[in-house]
Amino acid sequence: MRGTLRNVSFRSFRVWRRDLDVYLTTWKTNFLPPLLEPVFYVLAFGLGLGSLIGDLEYQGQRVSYLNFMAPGVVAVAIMFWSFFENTYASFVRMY
Amino acid sequence: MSSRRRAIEARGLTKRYGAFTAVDAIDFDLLHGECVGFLGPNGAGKTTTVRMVSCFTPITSGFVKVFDLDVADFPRAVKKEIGMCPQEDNLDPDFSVGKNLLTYARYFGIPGGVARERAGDLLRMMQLEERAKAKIQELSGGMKRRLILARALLNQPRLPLLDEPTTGLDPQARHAIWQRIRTLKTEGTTILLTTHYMEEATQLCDRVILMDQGKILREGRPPELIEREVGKHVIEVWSRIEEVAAFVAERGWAHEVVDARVYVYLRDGDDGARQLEDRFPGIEHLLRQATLEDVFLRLAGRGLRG
Repeated sequence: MRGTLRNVSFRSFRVWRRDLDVYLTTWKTNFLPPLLEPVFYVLAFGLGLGSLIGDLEYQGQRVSYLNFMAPGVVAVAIMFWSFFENTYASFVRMY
Repeated sequence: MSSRRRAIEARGLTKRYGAFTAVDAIDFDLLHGECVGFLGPNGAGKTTTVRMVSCFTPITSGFVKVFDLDVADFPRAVKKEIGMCPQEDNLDPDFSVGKNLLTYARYFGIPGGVARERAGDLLRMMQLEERAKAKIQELSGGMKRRLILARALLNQPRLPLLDEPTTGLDPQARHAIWQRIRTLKTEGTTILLTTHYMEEATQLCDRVILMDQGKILREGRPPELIEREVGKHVIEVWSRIEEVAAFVAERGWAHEVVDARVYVYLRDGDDGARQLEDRFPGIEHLLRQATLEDVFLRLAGRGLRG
């Protein structure tokens, strides 16, 4: 493991720079959808479905469905898009 | 041979993919300042060899040293010295032509100012100047190849590795690339290139290495190789082939009969053609110079490969 770490070059930063440059030139398709996706989910499910479900009880507190699901939607969006960016989006250009 | 320093030294270089042996224990050297061509049909192992030299494909057994550095032990030092021009188009489609070069230059730690200057020079040299802002998808096949070659030269490599630099190009684009390779040669750069165009090898290479099915068949300077293996001339005959073949065999001339065509290999083709015409007046035949292609077809046979 130590050998592997010692073998990491500062030039890996250049690869990151390349991905950043791509991100900045393609922000319309790479930045906007990931931003809008959770917004739509919060609107559709939080407000739409939430109005049908009403409040729920959690650890003795009343929580609205919107407050219950919104943090999860945001967390999933962050996890998924960073996962995507670091796997497929980077890997397809690695060779 | 050993009086000049070696740029590449490969011994017992082997690559196996499962049961399939792509490169079978080959030995070869490249001397400083030499332009050597690997020739062979698809699947001969040329590209695999280049990929092992360029530290891309792990070596199964044997070794290859580039400027006395073993590629398995010092891949970074080796990559600094080589300029890889891969066979397939792997330009970055997310960037413009110019940006492709600048991004690539960063991987070598070339400072921005120097990188811009070199990228400009290379684009001018490859006649891509006006296209600097174009998207990759807008380029023609020839332009892409030229850009890939430009990219391979960005780090001013001592050893450009050109894997089929002209495959699929039109004559203009091919000649433009040949011209650039010749300029590199006159600057004393060591070059390794692969091709399956025998003409390309004859035009550019000081020495060729003929490969087939992972093995080296022959190597040598193109004219000497041709002379040694097939002689100076080839006569192709495509009528009365049985009689002609018998006549030729009687005289002990090297020949082959393939698909209703007789190929006769001779040192003195004029004399041979005269004798043929005397014996078979008005026979349809073609007398031409022997080429590397004849050498290759004789050694490797005429069957289709992969």
